[in-house]
Amino acid sequence: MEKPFLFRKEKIADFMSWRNKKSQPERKEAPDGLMRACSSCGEMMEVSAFQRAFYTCVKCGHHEPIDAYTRIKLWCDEKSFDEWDKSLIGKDPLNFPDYREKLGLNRQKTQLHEAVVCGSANILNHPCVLCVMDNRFMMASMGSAVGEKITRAIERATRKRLPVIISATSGGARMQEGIYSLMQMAKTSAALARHHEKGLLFISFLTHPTTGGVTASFASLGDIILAEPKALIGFAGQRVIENTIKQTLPEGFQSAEFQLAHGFVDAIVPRKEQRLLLGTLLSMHGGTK
Amino acid sequence: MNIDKIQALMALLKSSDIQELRLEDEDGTIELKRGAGHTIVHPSHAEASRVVSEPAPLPCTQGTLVKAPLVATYYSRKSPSTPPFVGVGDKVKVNQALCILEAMKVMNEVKSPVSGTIVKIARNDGDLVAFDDVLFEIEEDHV
Amino acid sequence: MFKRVCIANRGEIAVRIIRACKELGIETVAIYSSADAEALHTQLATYAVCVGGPRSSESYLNVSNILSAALYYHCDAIHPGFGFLSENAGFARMVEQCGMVFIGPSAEVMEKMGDKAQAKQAMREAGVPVVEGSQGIVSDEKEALEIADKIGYPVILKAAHGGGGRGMRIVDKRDEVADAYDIASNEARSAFGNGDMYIEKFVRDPKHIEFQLLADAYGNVVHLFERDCSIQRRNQKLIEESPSRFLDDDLRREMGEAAVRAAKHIGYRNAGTIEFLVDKDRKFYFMEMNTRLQVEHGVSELVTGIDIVKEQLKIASGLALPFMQEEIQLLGHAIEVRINAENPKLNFAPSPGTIRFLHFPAGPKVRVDSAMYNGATISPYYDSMIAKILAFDTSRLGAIKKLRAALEECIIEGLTCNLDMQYLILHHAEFLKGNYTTSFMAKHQDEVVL
Repeated sequence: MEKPFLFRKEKIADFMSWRNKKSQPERKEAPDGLMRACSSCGEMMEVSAFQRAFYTCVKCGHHEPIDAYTRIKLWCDEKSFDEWDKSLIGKDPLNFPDYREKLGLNRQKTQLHEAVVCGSANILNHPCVLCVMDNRFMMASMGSAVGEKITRAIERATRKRLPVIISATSGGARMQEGIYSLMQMAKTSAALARHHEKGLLFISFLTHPTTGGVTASFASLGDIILAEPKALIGFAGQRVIENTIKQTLPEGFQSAEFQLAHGFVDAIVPRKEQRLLLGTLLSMHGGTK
Repeated sequence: MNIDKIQALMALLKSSDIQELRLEDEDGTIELKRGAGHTIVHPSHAEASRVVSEPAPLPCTQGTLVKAPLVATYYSRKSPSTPPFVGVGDKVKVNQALCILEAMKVMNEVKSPVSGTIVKIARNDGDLVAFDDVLFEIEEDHV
Repeated sequence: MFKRVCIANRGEIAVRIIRACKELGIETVAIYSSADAEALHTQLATYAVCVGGPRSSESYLNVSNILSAALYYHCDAIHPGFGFLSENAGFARMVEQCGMVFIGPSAEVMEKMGDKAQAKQAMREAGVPVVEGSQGIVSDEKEALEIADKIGYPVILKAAHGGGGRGMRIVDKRDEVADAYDIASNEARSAFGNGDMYIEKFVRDPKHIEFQLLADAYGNVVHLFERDCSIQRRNQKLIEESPSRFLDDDLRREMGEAAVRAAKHIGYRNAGTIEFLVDKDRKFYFMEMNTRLQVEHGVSELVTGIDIVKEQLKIASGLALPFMQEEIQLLGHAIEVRINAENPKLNFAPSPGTIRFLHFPAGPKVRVDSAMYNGATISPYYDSMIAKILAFDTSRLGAIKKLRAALEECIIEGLTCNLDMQYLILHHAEFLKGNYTTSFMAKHQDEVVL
């Protein structure tokens, strides 16, 4: 007889269900937020293990995007971050349709006022000025407020003779503000030039994805340019380039690794090494108390 | 051995106390044996068409089988109010979402490995799927 | 009492747990890998769920899939068996977070006992003798000498970052310490890139004697006496027996009380085992605590008449222990041999395969724990356990004779196994005397592998 165990089990199950209607065990559910899946390889992992792995996949090492405050917490000494211009917001100079609604929705969704968080902090006891962009807010597009916050931060750093670290991520200039957005490219670059004239250090840290007007301005002006593994770093989008030059693009085009190989990035830094490297760079360039 | 005859015999067996039945006639020979929950049919004629009744249909060897990569609860749609991702006969493209597998409150989308037509949907909303369980059968487009 | 329990394990222990659940009227959910689709435990459980591919990491260690399976079937509890996730505190925590009971101690206690330094400290606090040593790395040979003088000779110098016998030196006398430290440290530096050393008292040629514990959630802790597990090869146990010929009543009582004291001190709950090393002078030292059910638990079950797995289920569901220490007695003598699918003649190479013909022994007080049946397979992905064969009798010699007879009856065809070797060990003079130590196999392997 095929499958003797199965046959017997089914016989017994029939008998049991005929004999007694057992009370069912209570419903149980997993709590929310206990596990998550890697957005790259799909591996299921415990959220606390994921956090301990610096928000990277415990199996494939994929770096999940993190919000500005999380990044600040990972990099800075505990309680050392002092935020500046937290509630600075821009205007709607072009009266762009739905812009104000969109801003309202993004503010509600992220609890941020704008797409960048700026302030002063210590990293391994070395003071610096830190700006971290957050792409949950309108894809971290740069409008007047983002440009102004970053510029003010750079200017304060220049006055106080502090190094600047900017963690960039962006979909580009904020189209809803037109030329005001584009002007931020020049404004931030000019502020960095003055900072540079004083012999101060600017570290540009590129995260996924960094594109458009941000790449074409402050993000590429670092004395040292670092990037997260596999981050997309470019100016124009792949499809636009392909359609323009009518050629297929090479494998890995615009990845951080590609940029590293072509001299546009100085080093790729996995998340678990970032704090140590930034602190070391700050100490090397004279940023001690 | 025609199928109507076999089905009639099966019905007869089921409704009686008979444990085993063997019938020989001009069409061939058929043996029916009562088993727990299913009747097993052994046609002894080589040409007789095989009738096998069993709880789950055998997967067809022709199409691409989409199997569950993890243990989860199967959902055919993104939310109770939205329509299912796919239906039988739908054309799908590679990487198109086919269903949701919910595990530990994490919603995993299962993406189609090929472009083709859905031939079979093997699971219903709320079913448990185990590792390697067949979810869909897709007949791949021939390029 | 639980209505449904998920067993997060496989093989004979999964079968063992299912049996205990059936006796208590508990439905069972088995999990299995694709390599175990025909395994016995999947056939006996009420429900069975395939949780992954053949590798343990894909299936039996796949926390997410195991929890999903258990939650889908609304299991009240998860029994982790031994190995796999049984001593994984993270898993224990997640089980509880999902509203199910983890059948074992708390995650905190598990973590503490899993940390060698913390475990030793807890034992010291409970007044249990531990193998003394340095509290971490020894800075130089001067410190090594100081500590060695304090703890007494012989001592062993061990590489902090190594293993496999390298960067290790045993020192019998004071004047050998300095040289041994240099040599060992240099060896460690070249082998592991790090010459850090720590120092411990060396217990020469010990017996490995462990005490089985049961503790409920109300602070009641009892021991089920000892198991002598000194017949081992490369730290893998081969034969276990209870009681040990080496312990007299006083030492047994002293060690039992120490084990119970330790368990109470750390707030232990459910089944567990404390392993001791016992030297030839009958001094005992804490080695480690296993915060789970063990393979050889059946030996204690036979010799005390207590069903440890059923007690585990009862304790986890909130019941108090139904007996006190005074009520637990050694009713006789029990011995277990492990039958593994390996070839002793080929350096014990695993020999997976399909069982062609199987006949297990039976008879009064003969017990066989196995997941094998005719046509079943031992796959290369997991341990090579075929069966545990146990015998109980009123005397030690009686148990030995009964076990020999059982091994004579036992037929396993289609695989190479260590059945004959075990049979020969049961005839060996050293074994019969009962004072064998952990060096038995090293000394006598050639006499029992023929």
